[in-house]
Amino acid sequence: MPLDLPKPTEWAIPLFILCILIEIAYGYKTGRAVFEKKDTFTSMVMGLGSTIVSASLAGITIVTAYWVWENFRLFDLGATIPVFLAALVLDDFRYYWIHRFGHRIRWMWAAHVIHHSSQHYNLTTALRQTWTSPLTPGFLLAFPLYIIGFEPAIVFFVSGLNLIYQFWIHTEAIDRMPRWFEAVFNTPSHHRVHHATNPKYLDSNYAGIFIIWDKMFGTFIPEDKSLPCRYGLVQDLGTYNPLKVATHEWVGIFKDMWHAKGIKNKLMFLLAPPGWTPDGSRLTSDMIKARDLKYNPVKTPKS
Amino acid sequence: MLEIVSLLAIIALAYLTGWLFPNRLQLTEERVRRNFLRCYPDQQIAEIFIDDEGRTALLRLQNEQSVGLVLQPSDRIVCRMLTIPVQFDISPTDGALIIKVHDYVVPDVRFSIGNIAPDRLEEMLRAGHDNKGGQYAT
Repeated sequence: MPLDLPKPTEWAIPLFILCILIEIAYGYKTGRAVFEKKDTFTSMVMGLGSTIVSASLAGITIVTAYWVWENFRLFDLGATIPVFLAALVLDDFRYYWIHRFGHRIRWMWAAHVIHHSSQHYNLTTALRQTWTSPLTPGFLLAFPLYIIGFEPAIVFFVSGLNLIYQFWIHTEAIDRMPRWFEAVFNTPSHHRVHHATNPKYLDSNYAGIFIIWDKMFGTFIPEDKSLPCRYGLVQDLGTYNPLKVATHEWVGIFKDMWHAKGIKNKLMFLLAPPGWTPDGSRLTSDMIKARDLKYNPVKTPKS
Repeated sequence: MLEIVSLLAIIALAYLTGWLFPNRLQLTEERVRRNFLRCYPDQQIAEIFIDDEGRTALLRLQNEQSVGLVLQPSDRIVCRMLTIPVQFDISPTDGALIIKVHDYVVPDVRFSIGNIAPDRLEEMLRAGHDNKGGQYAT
């Protein structure tokens, strides 16, 4: 009989709405948070759609996870508080890698790009979530946790906590947290850098809860006050249509694979970093960083 | 039912933000230049045409095989560099050009010509007519 644990994200929805209202009021009063009507609508509709997709596929997700756990687990870890804490830390480690792959493999970027498609950075951006992650292999990265012996219900529970933690860091209203906190945890400052398209900031700060993973694996970049973050994509979307926002990178992959010559090129359009082309006519984030050093070492202002 | 209530709440929140954060920004030459060069720092801008509504700009580039397109669909700016004539179609209409970009996430754009001499625009848009561009050029 699976553990019956609460769903943290469902509990948190009223809190999310309250926090968004507070940020809107704060932004209106101080100018330190900016919203835009179409952007807000699209972000929140993406959040709603993501919830509907997750709920629709919950049955398959749960059955698959329990099948792996029941047939392949090495240990039975039980459900004590230390196990929950260990699951929280290891699930965050899993998140770091799935997030990193989500930026470096176009197949996974096709699902994750949605979260980065807003040119604003406020609490509604946190809700701009993917509809298409089930089409990626990202779910496989949870299997090691089940195989170690963490019961899937515990993993789902701590993943929910991870998602809730990441809500509050999507804001410009909070500058910096205390130094000790910034050293260990992901914060609004660290995550602003992650969402920024300034070449210097690209492909950094993949952390969920603990920023230590980025420091361990060389992807940490601190926010530079002399280089204000500019948010969105390196090639921003001109549309607020949620369906197009959800599917645009998949359409791009399909077109590229269709026209590509040879199996290798077709696969590379799926597996190489976003922006890769056989003839180098588009730019990957590495190429953008190199170009930036060549052409434009100055700060990137906001539009 | 819950989905419908959520959608209504979302619409209410969006309208609240639209009311509290009205968008009054328009494109200016300085904003167009700064943002286009941010996206395409290796390009050189020869001339900027901004439409009457201040929402769309076309840029003549030193590289005459491409044209710059700068849009402001809301309060933020979106830039594209388009190979002539591969990546867009233009059809004239009453006092405006309809620009249809072959890009899934760029909607058709109405460019109000106003005081801009149409022949100058046309000359720019046809400059690289024989060029087919790279297969993957964006």
